[in-house]
Amino acid sequence: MHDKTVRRRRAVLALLVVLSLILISASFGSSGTGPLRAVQNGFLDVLSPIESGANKVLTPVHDLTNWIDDITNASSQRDKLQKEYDRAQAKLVAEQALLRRAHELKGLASIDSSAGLAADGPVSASVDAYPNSLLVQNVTIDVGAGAGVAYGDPVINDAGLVGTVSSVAADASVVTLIDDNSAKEPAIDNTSGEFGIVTADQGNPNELALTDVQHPDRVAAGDFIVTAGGAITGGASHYPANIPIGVVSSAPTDTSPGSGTITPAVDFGALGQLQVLTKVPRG
Amino acid sequence: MTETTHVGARLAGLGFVAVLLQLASISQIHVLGVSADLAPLVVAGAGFLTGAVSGAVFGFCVGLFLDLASAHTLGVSALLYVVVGYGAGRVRELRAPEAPITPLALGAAATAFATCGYAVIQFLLGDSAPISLLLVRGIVVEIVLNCVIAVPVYAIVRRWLVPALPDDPRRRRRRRAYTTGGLSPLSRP
Repeated sequence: MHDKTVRRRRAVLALLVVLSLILISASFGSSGTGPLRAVQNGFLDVLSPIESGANKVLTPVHDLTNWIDDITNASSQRDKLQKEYDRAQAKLVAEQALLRRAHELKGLASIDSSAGLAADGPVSASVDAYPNSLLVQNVTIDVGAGAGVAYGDPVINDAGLVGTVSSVAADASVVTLIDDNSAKEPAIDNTSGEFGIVTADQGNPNELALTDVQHPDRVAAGDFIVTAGGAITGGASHYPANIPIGVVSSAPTDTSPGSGTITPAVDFGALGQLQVLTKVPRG
Repeated sequence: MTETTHVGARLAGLGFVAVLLQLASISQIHVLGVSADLAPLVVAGAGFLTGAVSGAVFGFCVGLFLDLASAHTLGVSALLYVVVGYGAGRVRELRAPEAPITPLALGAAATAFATCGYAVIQFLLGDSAPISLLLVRGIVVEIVLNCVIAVPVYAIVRRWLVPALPDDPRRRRRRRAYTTGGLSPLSRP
């Protein structure tokens, strides 16, 4: 009895396996229009309406799962896009910084060339620290005595005159800006050649003052003011000539010596790449 | 209606609904890019409950139905599910496992065999689909998904088939223990 059952079981299994293999062979060998294909197509014709009906009945289930899927996908896509955005932003910032630096270096090269500063030993520098108070008008730069920087050296950027080195360490220096109360720079009107002294404009941090103008009528609003290229007193900086300082925003008063205001050429809030002129001849 | 016919009718209904549900609904629900597959779970469950021969025949029919309905190469699923149904039935006949984890293990094994077997046969038939890490990942995800639904699917298959099955001596023993408090009617006072 047991043997009969085993034999029957094995026979059924063998039959089904052989049948499957025959079907595979026949189906695999048949072309797109063979009899098995026709059977398959007919079966599909019968089944597809049922399948379609079942599909419609189960639409709420699909909608629910799709909704959950969409929520999950949206969440993961949001995180992915946020990461991509952060990466792109970081890249943009880095490229902008490179571009800005290139512009600044180009500007410095231009000013070096136009003012003939190549012989004055220009040393590139970057700002390490900006003023931490409204009352402090100096910045710390990343070059010092090790790079040949000395007390009193003039500092410029691509826009014009920035200030003077007022303190020197081995690898850093402090630059007193030209809008500091202690700063005094000999300057001339680039149009008329009229001489004056540029100082901080008291009570107006965005402007400079042009004082000691002997012939105020020779200075007009809109004139460029540049360094005169000489020292005022012993120990004061020797600025090379023709470095831009600013533009006359209000002409000096008629009284002699007159006093007017200048809009600085340099944006003291964004100094960028600097140059320290380390080999300016001293008087 | 004889007992065999009754079981056959129930198996036919089960196979039809399972394949229809798979094609119309389950195959459209994707988790990590893969959908669960009811067929190996249902075939394994039915084979486990009804025995090797019934399981093999049921597997063949379900496989053929799937091949016809999804326009695959005829006989591939049939061949695989014959083995799944037969194997599940033989497990029951040889080992009679009763651990709660049995449906899960059975479902995982059936899914792994059906999925890997399908890939191998397609490969042997010259399918140009590349065997890649993505495919392996898909197979693993499908096995995991099927493990998740294996226990409820087995419970449904069992609930559907057991009323039609001939009385199993083990089930009879358990039922008697439940109704008599574990004592044979002869030993009761």
